[in-house]
Amino acid sequence: MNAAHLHLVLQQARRGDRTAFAQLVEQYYPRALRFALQMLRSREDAEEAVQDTFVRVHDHLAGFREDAPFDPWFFRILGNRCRTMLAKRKRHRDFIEYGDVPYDAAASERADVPDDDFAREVHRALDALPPEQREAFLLRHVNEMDYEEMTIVTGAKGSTLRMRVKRAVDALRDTLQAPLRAGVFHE
Amino acid sequence: MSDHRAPHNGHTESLPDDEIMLAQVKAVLSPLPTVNRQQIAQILAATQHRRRTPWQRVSGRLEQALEWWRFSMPPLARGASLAAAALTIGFVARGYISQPRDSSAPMPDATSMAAAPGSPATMAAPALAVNRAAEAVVQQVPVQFLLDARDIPAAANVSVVGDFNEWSVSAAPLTLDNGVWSTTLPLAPGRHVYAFVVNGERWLADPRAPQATDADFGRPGSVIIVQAP
Repeated sequence: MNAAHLHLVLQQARRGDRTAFAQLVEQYYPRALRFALQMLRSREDAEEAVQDTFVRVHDHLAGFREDAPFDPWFFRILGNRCRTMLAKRKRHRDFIEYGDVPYDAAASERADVPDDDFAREVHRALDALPPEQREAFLLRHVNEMDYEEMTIVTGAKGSTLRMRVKRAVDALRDTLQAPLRAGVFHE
Repeated sequence: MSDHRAPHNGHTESLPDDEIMLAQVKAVLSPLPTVNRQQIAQILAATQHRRRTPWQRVSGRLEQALEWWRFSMPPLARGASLAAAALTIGFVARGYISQPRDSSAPMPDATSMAAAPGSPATMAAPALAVNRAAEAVVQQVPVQFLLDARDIPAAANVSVVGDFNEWSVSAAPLTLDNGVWSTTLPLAPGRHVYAFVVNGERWLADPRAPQATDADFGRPGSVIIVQAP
Protein backbone atom coordinates (compact mmCIF):
# COMPACT_ATOMS: atom_id res chain seq x y z
CA MET A 1 0.00 0.00 0.00
CA ASN A 2 1.65 3.25 -1.11
CA ALA A 3 1.25 6.60 0.67
CA ALA A 4 -1.60 7.84 -1.57
CA HIS A 5 -3.54 4.58 -1.17
CA LEU A 6 -3.01 4.66 2.61
CA HIS A 7 -4.24 8.26 2.72
CA LEU A 8 -7.39 7.27 0.83
CA VAL A 9 -8.00 4.21 3.03
CA LEU A 10 -7.54 6.32 6.17
CA GLN A 11 -9.98 8.93 4.88
CA GLN A 12 -12.60 6.26 4.18
CA ALA A 13 -12.00 4.51 7.51
CA ARG A 14 -12.38 7.84 9.32
CA ARG A 15 -15.80 8.20 7.75
CA GLY A 16 -16.76 4.78 9.14
CA ASP A 17 -16.13 2.64 6.04
CA ARG A 18 -15.78 -0.91 7.38
CA THR A 19 -14.00 -2.25 4.29
CA ALA A 20 -11.38 0.47 4.56
CA PHE A 21 -10.82 -0.29 8.25
CA ALA A 22 -10.48 -4.01 7.41
CA GLN A 23 -7.86 -3.10 4.79
CA LEU A 24 -6.01 -1.10 7.42
CA VAL A 25 -6.02 -4.06 9.81
CA GLU A 26 -4.82 -6.43 7.06
CA GLN A 27 -2.03 -4.04 6.17
CA TYR A 28 -0.76 -3.28 9.68
CA TYR A 29 -1.50 -6.49 11.60
CA PRO A 30 1.66 -8.46 10.61
CA ARG A 31 4.06 -5.61 11.41
CA ALA A 32 2.22 -4.82 14.63
CA LEU A 33 2.35 -8.47 15.70
CA ARG A 34 6.05 -8.72 14.89
CA PHE A 35 6.81 -5.65 17.02
CA ALA A 36 4.61 -6.81 19.92
CA LEU A 37 6.09 -10.35 19.82
CA GLN A 38 9.62 -8.99 19.89
CA MET A 39 8.75 -6.63 22.73
CA LEU A 40 6.72 -9.03 24.85
CA ARG A 41 8.02 -12.49 23.86
CA SER A 42 4.61 -13.97 24.49
CA ARG A 43 2.20 -14.66 21.64
CA GLU A 44 -0.86 -14.38 23.85
CA ASP A 45 0.22 -10.99 25.26
CA ALA A 46 1.29 -9.78 21.82
CA GLU A 47 -2.04 -10.68 20.21
CA GLU A 48 -3.90 -9.00 23.06
CA ALA A 49 -1.78 -5.85 22.75
CA VAL A 50 -2.31 -5.72 18.98
CA GLN A 51 -6.07 -6.26 19.27
CA ASP A 52 -6.31 -3.56 21.91
CA THR A 53 -4.29 -1.25 19.68
CA PHE A 54 -6.64 -1.70 16.71
CA VAL A 55 -9.68 -1.08 18.91
CA ARG A 56 -8.09 2.17 20.11
CA VAL A 57 -7.13 3.12 16.56
CA HIS A 58 -10.75 2.50 15.52
CA ASP A 59 -12.08 4.63 18.37
CA HIS A 60 -9.69 7.52 17.85
CA LEU A 61 -9.38 7.51 14.07
CA ALA A 62 -11.80 10.42 13.80
CA GLY A 63 -9.45 12.53 15.90
CA PHE A 64 -6.37 11.56 13.88
CA ARG A 65 -4.98 14.51 11.95
CA GLU A 66 -5.39 13.80 8.25
CA ASP A 67 -2.06 15.29 7.22
CA ALA A 68 -0.04 13.63 10.01
CA PRO A 69 2.00 10.47 9.34
CA PHE A 70 0.03 7.38 10.34
CA ASP A 71 2.83 4.92 11.20
CA PRO A 72 4.25 6.82 14.21
CA TRP A 73 0.74 7.43 15.56
CA PHE A 74 -0.13 3.76 15.21
CA PHE A 75 3.13 2.55 16.76
CA ARG A 76 2.78 5.06 19.61
CA ILE A 77 -0.50 3.40 20.61
CA LEU A 78 1.02 -0.06 20.15
CA GLY A 79 4.17 0.93 22.08
CA ASN A 80 2.04 2.20 24.95
CA ARG A 81 0.05 -1.04 25.02
CA CYS A 82 3.28 -3.08 25.10
CA ARG A 83 4.70 -0.94 27.90
CA THR A 84 1.48 -1.33 29.87
CA MET A 85 1.71 -5.11 29.39
CA LEU A 86 5.34 -5.15 30.50
CA ALA A 87 4.50 -3.07 33.58
CA LYS A 88 1.60 -5.40 34.39
CA ARG A 89 3.86 -8.41 33.97
CA LYS A 90 6.48 -6.84 36.24
CA ARG A 91 3.84 -6.19 38.91
CA HIS A 92 2.70 -9.79 38.62
CA ARG A 93 6.28 -11.06 38.88
CA ASP A 94 6.92 -8.88 41.93
CA PHE A 95 3.71 -10.19 43.47
CA ILE A 96 4.68 -13.87 43.19
CA GLU A 97 8.35 -13.28 43.87
CA TYR A 98 8.11 -15.20 47.12
CA GLY A 99 5.48 -17.65 45.88
CA ASP A 100 6.23 -21.16 44.71
CA VAL A 101 5.09 -20.77 41.08
CA PRO A 102 8.02 -19.92 38.83
CA TYR A 103 7.14 -17.24 36.26
CA ASP A 104 8.90 -17.29 32.94
CA ALA A 105 6.64 -16.13 30.14
CA ALA A 106 9.46 -16.28 27.63
CA ALA A 107 10.19 -19.92 28.29
CA SER A 108 6.76 -21.02 27.13
CA GLU A 109 6.90 -19.05 23.89
CA ARG A 110 9.83 -20.63 22.12
CA ALA A 111 7.53 -21.69 19.29
CA ASP A 112 7.95 -18.22 17.76
CA VAL A 113 11.74 -18.45 17.71
CA PRO A 114 13.14 -20.18 14.61
CA ASP A 115 14.88 -23.47 15.16
CA ASP A 116 18.34 -22.10 14.48
CA ASP A 117 21.29 -21.52 16.83
CA PHE A 118 22.03 -18.00 15.67
CA ALA A 119 18.36 -16.95 15.62
CA ARG A 120 17.91 -18.31 19.16
CA GLU A 121 20.99 -16.41 20.27
CA VAL A 122 19.68 -13.18 18.70
CA HIS A 123 16.33 -13.56 20.44
CA ARG A 124 18.06 -14.32 23.74
CA ALA A 125 20.26 -11.23 23.37
CA LEU A 126 17.21 -9.12 22.47
CA ASP A 127 15.30 -10.42 25.50
CA ALA A 128 18.19 -9.44 27.75
CA LEU A 129 18.02 -5.78 26.66
CA PRO A 130 16.13 -3.32 28.90
CA PRO A 131 12.68 -2.71 27.33
CA GLU A 132 13.40 0.90 26.32
CA GLN A 133 16.59 -0.15 24.50
CA ARG A 134 14.80 -3.09 22.89
CA GLU A 135 12.01 -0.80 21.72
CA ALA A 136 14.42 1.80 20.30
CA PHE A 137 16.46 -0.89 18.52
CA LEU A 138 13.38 -2.54 16.99
CA LEU A 139 11.90 0.76 15.81
CA ARG A 140 15.19 1.83 14.24
CA HIS A 141 16.59 -1.36 12.76
CA VAL A 142 13.58 -3.61 12.21
CA ASN A 143 10.80 -1.11 11.52
CA GLU A 144 13.31 1.25 9.87
CA MET A 145 11.93 4.45 11.38
CA ASP A 146 13.90 7.67 11.51
CA TYR A 147 14.56 9.40 14.82
CA GLU A 148 11.78 11.96 14.33
CA GLU A 149 9.22 9.19 13.92
CA MET A 150 10.71 7.36 16.91
CA THR A 151 10.30 10.53 18.99
CA ILE A 152 6.59 10.54 18.18
CA VAL A 153 6.31 6.85 19.07
CA THR A 154 8.19 6.94 22.36
CA GLY A 155 7.97 10.55 23.51
CA ALA A 156 11.74 10.44 24.17
CA LYS A 157 14.18 12.98 22.70
CA GLY A 158 16.24 12.14 19.60
CA SER A 159 19.51 12.20 21.56
CA THR A 160 18.07 9.82 24.17
CA LEU A 161 16.88 7.47 21.44
CA ARG A 162 20.26 7.54 19.69
CA MET A 163 21.90 6.58 22.99
CA ARG A 164 19.41 3.74 23.55
CA VAL A 165 20.03 2.35 20.06
CA LYS A 166 23.79 2.61 20.52
CA ARG A 167 23.66 0.81 23.86
CA ALA A 168 21.45 -1.89 22.37
CA VAL A 169 23.87 -2.40 19.47
CA ASP A 170 26.81 -2.50 21.92
CA ALA A 171 25.05 -5.12 24.02
CA LEU A 172 24.12 -7.21 20.99
CA ARG A 173 27.67 -7.01 19.71
CA ASP A 174 29.05 -8.14 23.06
CA THR A 175 26.72 -11.12 23.08
CA LEU A 176 26.89 -12.11 19.42
CA GLN A 177 30.27 -11.03 18.09
CA ALA A 178 32.46 -13.52 19.92
CA PRO A 179 30.55 -16.63 18.79
CA LEU A 180 30.24 -15.15 15.28
CA ARG A 181 34.00 -14.67 15.01
CA ALA A 182 34.63 -18.12 16.40
CA GLY A 183 32.29 -19.48 13.72
CA VAL A 184 30.07 -21.18 16.27
CA PHE A 185 27.04 -20.65 14.07
CA HIS A 186 28.64 -21.89 10.88
CA GLU A 187 27.51 -25.20 9.61
CA MET B 1 17.73 -21.20 8.00
CA SER B 2 20.76 -20.42 5.88
CA ASP B 3 19.32 -16.98 4.98
CA HIS B 4 20.13 -15.74 8.49
CA ARG B 5 23.77 -16.14 7.70
CA ALA B 6 23.68 -14.61 4.23
CA PRO B 7 26.01 -11.70 5.08
CA HIS B 8 28.80 -14.22 5.77
CA ASN B 9 29.51 -14.48 2.04
CA GLY B 10 32.52 -12.89 0.37
CA HIS B 11 31.25 -9.45 -0.67
CA THR B 12 30.40 -8.36 2.87
CA GLU B 13 33.78 -9.22 4.36
CA SER B 14 35.02 -5.66 3.89
CA LEU B 15 32.12 -4.23 5.93
CA PRO B 16 32.76 -3.17 9.54
CA ASP B 17 31.94 -5.87 12.10
CA ASP B 18 28.96 -3.92 13.45
CA GLU B 19 27.32 -3.70 10.05
CA ILE B 20 27.74 -7.40 9.42
CA MET B 21 26.37 -8.20 12.85
CA LEU B 22 23.44 -5.80 12.37
CA ALA B 23 22.64 -7.21 8.94
CA GLN B 24 22.54 -10.71 10.43
CA VAL B 25 20.39 -9.61 13.37
CA LYS B 26 17.99 -7.81 11.02
CA ALA B 27 17.79 -10.90 8.83
CA VAL B 28 16.62 -12.83 11.90
CA LEU B 29 14.19 -10.23 13.20
CA SER B 30 12.67 -8.85 9.99
CA PRO B 31 10.55 -11.78 8.71
CA LEU B 32 6.89 -11.21 9.54
CA PRO B 33 5.29 -13.74 11.89
CA THR B 34 2.54 -16.14 10.88
CA VAL B 35 -0.79 -14.40 11.24
CA ASN B 36 -3.72 -16.13 12.85
CA ARG B 37 -6.67 -15.10 10.66
CA GLN B 38 -8.98 -15.64 13.59
CA GLN B 39 -7.28 -12.75 15.38
CA ILE B 40 -8.00 -10.39 12.50
CA ALA B 41 -11.62 -11.58 12.42
CA GLN B 42 -11.83 -10.94 16.18
CA ILE B 43 -10.57 -7.38 15.77
CA LEU B 44 -13.10 -6.66 13.04
CA ALA B 45 -15.88 -8.18 15.15
CA ALA B 46 -14.80 -6.22 18.23
CA THR B 47 -14.98 -2.92 16.34
CA GLN B 48 -18.06 -3.66 14.23
CA HIS B 49 -20.81 -2.48 16.53
CA ARG B 50 -18.70 -0.22 18.65
CA ARG B 51 -20.77 2.85 19.38
CA ARG B 52 -19.32 5.00 22.07
CA THR B 53 -21.30 7.12 24.47
CA PRO B 54 -20.01 10.66 25.11
CA TRP B 55 -18.81 9.50 28.55
CA GLN B 56 -16.83 6.61 27.00
CA ARG B 57 -15.30 9.07 24.56
CA VAL B 58 -14.24 11.39 27.40
CA SER B 59 -12.89 8.55 29.53
CA GLY B 60 -11.04 7.14 26.51
CA ARG B 61 -9.36 10.48 25.95
CA LEU B 62 -8.50 10.75 29.64
CA GLU B 63 -7.03 7.26 29.57
CA GLN B 64 -4.97 8.14 26.50
CA ALA B 65 -3.72 11.35 28.11
CA LEU B 66 -2.85 9.45 31.30
CA GLU B 67 -0.97 6.83 29.31
CA TRP B 68 0.95 9.52 27.46
CA TRP B 69 1.71 11.24 30.76
CA ARG B 70 2.92 8.01 32.35
CA PHE B 71 5.19 6.98 29.52
CA SER B 72 6.34 10.20 27.89
CA MET B 73 7.36 12.23 30.91
CA PRO B 74 10.42 11.46 33.00
CA PRO B 75 9.57 10.74 36.68
CA LEU B 76 11.07 14.06 37.83
CA ALA B 77 8.95 16.05 35.36
CA ARG B 78 5.90 14.02 36.41
CA GLY B 79 6.51 14.92 40.06
CA ALA B 80 7.04 18.57 39.15
CA SER B 81 3.86 18.73 37.07
CA LEU B 82 1.88 17.09 39.90
CA ALA B 83 3.27 19.59 42.37
CA ALA B 84 2.46 22.48 39.99
CA ALA B 85 -1.10 21.17 39.52
CA ALA B 86 -1.56 20.81 43.30
CA LEU B 87 -0.27 24.35 43.86
CA THR B 88 -2.56 25.78 41.19
CA ILE B 89 -5.60 23.98 42.60
CA GLY B 90 -4.71 25.12 46.12
CA PHE B 91 -4.16 28.69 44.93
CA VAL B 92 -7.50 28.88 43.09
CA ALA B 93 -9.38 27.06 45.88
CA ARG B 94 -7.97 29.46 48.43
CA GLY B 95 -9.26 32.37 46.37
CA TYR B 96 -12.75 30.89 46.12
CA ILE B 97 -12.94 29.89 49.78
CA SER B 98 -11.85 33.34 50.89
CA GLN B 99 -14.36 35.18 48.64
CA PRO B 100 -17.06 37.12 50.55
CA ARG B 101 -20.15 34.91 50.95
CA ASP B 102 -22.60 37.80 50.33
CA SER B 103 -23.05 37.93 46.58
CA SER B 104 -24.94 41.25 46.75
CA ALA B 105 -21.86 42.99 48.12
CA PRO B 106 -19.96 44.90 45.39
CA MET B 107 -16.92 43.04 44.05
CA PRO B 108 -13.71 44.91 44.89
CA ASP B 109 -11.60 45.84 41.88
CA ALA B 110 -7.84 45.68 41.57
CA THR B 111 -7.30 49.33 42.41
CA SER B 112 -9.29 49.18 45.61
CA MET B 113 -7.36 46.08 46.62
CA ALA B 114 -4.05 47.74 45.92
CA ALA B 115 -5.15 50.77 47.92
CA ALA B 116 -6.11 48.71 50.96
CA PRO B 117 -3.51 46.01 51.46
CA GLY B 118 -4.25 43.59 54.26
CA SER B 119 -8.00 44.17 54.06
CA PRO B 120 -10.31 41.13 53.57
CA ALA B 121 -10.72 42.07 49.90
CA THR B 122 -7.11 41.12 49.14
CA MET B 123 -7.93 37.51 49.92
CA ALA B 124 -10.07 37.34 46.74
CA ALA B 125 -7.16 38.38 44.54
CA PRO B 126 -6.21 34.91 43.21
CA ALA B 127 -9.73 34.24 41.95
CA LEU B 128 -9.88 37.67 40.35
CA ALA B 129 -6.49 37.16 38.76
CA VAL B 130 -7.68 33.86 37.26
CA ASN B 131 -10.81 35.56 35.85
CA ARG B 132 -8.79 38.39 34.32
CA ALA B 133 -6.37 35.90 32.74
CA ALA B 134 -9.30 34.05 31.19
CA GLU B 135 -10.62 37.32 29.74
CA ALA B 136 -7.23 38.15 28.26
CA VAL B 137 -7.15 34.83 26.38
CA VAL B 138 -10.31 35.56 24.37
CA GLN B 139 -9.09 38.90 22.98
CA GLN B 140 -7.96 38.09 19.45
CA VAL B 141 -5.88 40.13 17.04
CA PRO B 142 -6.35 40.12 13.23
CA VAL B 143 -3.20 38.80 11.55
CA GLN B 144 -2.58 38.88 7.80
CA PHE B 145 -0.73 35.97 6.15
CA LEU B 146 0.94 36.76 2.81
CA LEU B 147 2.76 34.64 0.27
CA ASP B 148 4.28 35.93 -2.98
CA ALA B 149 2.76 33.99 -5.91
CA ARG B 150 6.17 34.01 -7.65
CA ASP B 151 7.49 31.73 -4.88
CA ILE B 152 4.93 29.07 -5.78
CA PRO B 153 4.30 29.30 -9.54
CA ALA B 154 2.43 25.98 -9.80
CA ALA B 155 -0.02 26.72 -6.96
CA ALA B 156 -3.72 26.20 -7.66
CA ASN B 157 -4.73 26.67 -4.05
CA VAL B 158 -2.95 27.65 -0.86
CA SER B 159 -4.04 27.47 2.74
CA VAL B 160 -2.50 28.30 6.08
CA VAL B 161 -2.39 25.65 8.81
CA GLY B 162 -1.23 26.09 12.36
CA ASP B 163 -1.84 25.40 16.00
CA PHE B 164 -4.67 27.96 15.83
CA ASN B 165 -6.78 25.89 13.40
CA GLU B 166 -5.86 22.35 14.46
CA TRP B 167 -3.59 22.08 11.39
CA SER B 168 -6.62 21.71 9.17
CA VAL B 169 -5.78 22.10 5.49
CA SER B 170 -9.30 23.23 4.65
CA ALA B 171 -9.85 25.70 7.51
CA ALA B 172 -8.08 28.81 6.18
CA PRO B 173 -7.66 29.08 2.38
CA LEU B 174 -5.71 32.02 0.94
CA THR B 175 -6.99 34.08 -2.00
CA LEU B 176 -4.84 35.23 -4.92
CA ASP B 177 -4.94 38.94 -5.68
CA ASN B 178 -2.37 40.95 -7.68
CA GLY B 179 0.24 38.20 -7.42
CA VAL B 180 -0.11 37.80 -3.67
CA TRP B 181 -1.83 34.96 -1.82
CA SER B 182 -3.33 36.32 1.39
CA THR B 183 -5.80 35.83 4.19
CA THR B 184 -6.47 37.43 7.55
CA LEU B 185 -7.19 35.39 10.65
CA PRO B 186 -8.03 36.43 14.21
CA LEU B 187 -5.37 34.97 16.52
CA ALA B 188 -4.98 34.95 20.27
CA PRO B 189 -1.92 36.82 21.56
CA GLY B 190 1.13 34.62 22.04
CA ARG B 191 3.40 32.39 19.99
CA HIS B 192 1.97 30.38 17.12
CA VAL B 193 3.54 27.87 14.76
CA TYR B 194 2.16 27.71 11.23
CA ALA B 195 2.91 26.73 7.64
CA PHE B 196 1.43 27.14 4.19
CA VAL B 197 0.05 24.13 2.32
CA VAL B 198 0.24 24.36 -1.46
CA ASN B 199 -2.22 22.34 -3.55
CA GLY B 200 -3.29 20.48 -0.44
CA GLU B 201 -0.08 18.51 -0.11
CA ARG B 202 3.15 20.54 -0.20
CA TRP B 203 4.07 22.11 3.15
CA LEU B 204 5.96 25.36 2.97
CA ALA B 205 7.41 27.51 5.75
CA ASP B 206 6.75 31.25 5.46
CA PRO B 207 9.91 32.54 3.72
CA ARG B 208 9.47 35.90 5.48
CA ALA B 209 9.14 34.56 9.03
CA PRO B 210 11.50 32.81 11.46
CA GLN B 211 11.60 29.03 11.16
CA ALA B 212 10.11 26.94 13.97
CA THR B 213 12.59 24.61 15.63
CA ASP B 214 9.70 22.54 16.98
CA ALA B 215 8.10 22.04 13.55
CA ASP B 216 5.41 19.42 13.85
CA PHE B 217 6.28 15.93 12.59
CA GLY B 218 9.43 17.25 10.97
CA ARG B 219 7.56 19.39 8.43
CA PRO B 220 8.63 22.98 7.82
CA GLY B 221 7.00 25.55 10.03
CA SER B 222 7.27 29.24 10.89
CA VAL B 223 6.72 31.19 14.05
CA ILE B 224 4.63 34.27 14.62
CA ILE B 225 4.40 36.19 17.88
CA VAL B 226 1.07 37.98 18.21
CA GLN B 227 1.20 40.95 20.57
CA ALA B 228 -1.78 41.69 22.80
CA PRO B 229 -3.73 44.75 21.56
